[in-house]
Amino acid sequence: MKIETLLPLGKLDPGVRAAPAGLDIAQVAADAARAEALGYDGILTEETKDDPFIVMALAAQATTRVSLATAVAVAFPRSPTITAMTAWSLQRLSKGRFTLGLGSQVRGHIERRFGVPWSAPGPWLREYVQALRSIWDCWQNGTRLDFRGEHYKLTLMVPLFAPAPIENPDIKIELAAVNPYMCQVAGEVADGIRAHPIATPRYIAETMVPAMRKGAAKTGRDLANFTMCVMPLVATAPDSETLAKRARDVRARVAFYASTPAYVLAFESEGYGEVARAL
Amino acid sequence: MARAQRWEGRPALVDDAMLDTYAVIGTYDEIAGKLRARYAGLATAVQFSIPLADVRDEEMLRELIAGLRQT
Repeated sequence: MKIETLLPLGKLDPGVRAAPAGLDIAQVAADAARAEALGYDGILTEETKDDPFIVMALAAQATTRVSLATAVAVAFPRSPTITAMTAWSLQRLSKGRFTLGLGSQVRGHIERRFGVPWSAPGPWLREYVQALRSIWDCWQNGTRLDFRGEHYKLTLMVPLFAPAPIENPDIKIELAAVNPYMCQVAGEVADGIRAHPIATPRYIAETMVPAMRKGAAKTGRDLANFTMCVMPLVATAPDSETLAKRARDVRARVAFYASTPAYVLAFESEGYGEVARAL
Repeated sequence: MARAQRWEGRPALVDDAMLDTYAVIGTYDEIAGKLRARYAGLATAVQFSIPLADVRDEEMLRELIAGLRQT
């Protein structure tokens, strides 16, 4: 199992229990080097208050060994061509250590924070990933760009704007997924899943993995190297007194997730559907 | 309830069994083993950290990372 950390170093699970200080863009390089020295296998960044790709670029320059992944970047506000270019630069800069983690976000944020019209996220993200791969294939192999989907029609690429081939052109794409449909999409077109903190082992095994396999079967893909990356809610401390305090924060976090309608399936699967609805 | 932003007041509804279902709770001595047991054969990568206040925390984190990696 790979051991990964979010930046800033010392940040715990996503959300409420933020690191004492938020991410300082000027400290990313030092933090990334420290994480590598501590023995981590991978460095992750979320997309909250800084551009995650800038964070990744700084981390790439400061390290030589660790993998680097967005966990995750919001896909839809960015044209696939822009994301393809950013990922291409990061893959070249990191000498093949970059993984593009993408997520759909939810309707309210896409429409009201990013000003982009909403559409069904599963089919949209599937097409987005397919578009990325078409663009990369064009850049790497000189194929004609001719992508025609529901959301994107990409038919123009000229030498002035086409980056040169790179050494590791198979950039891995991971999708943030909770519900079965997105897990299926990941199985169909992506290289891995970034599971939500509320995905329990049972939920992963009984709901997410079967959906992912169904998707892979649909497109005839081999899942041998498919990644399942977890971000568990953890409370840990040197002694039981401190642990009790930290467990209180985690309990509040579980209550928050249970109150979020989008996650109800993950609570129902463990028999906590009623508690979730009460919250 | 999420809409009313009153969830902070409701963690009492999350009993210990529910907490253990959705979170991994343990002292530094226990946590690596608990995480390994929970995700062995299921996850290919796990995100993990601890609060870092000083050099001792960093040494502890280094040990915990090594412990997590054991199979």
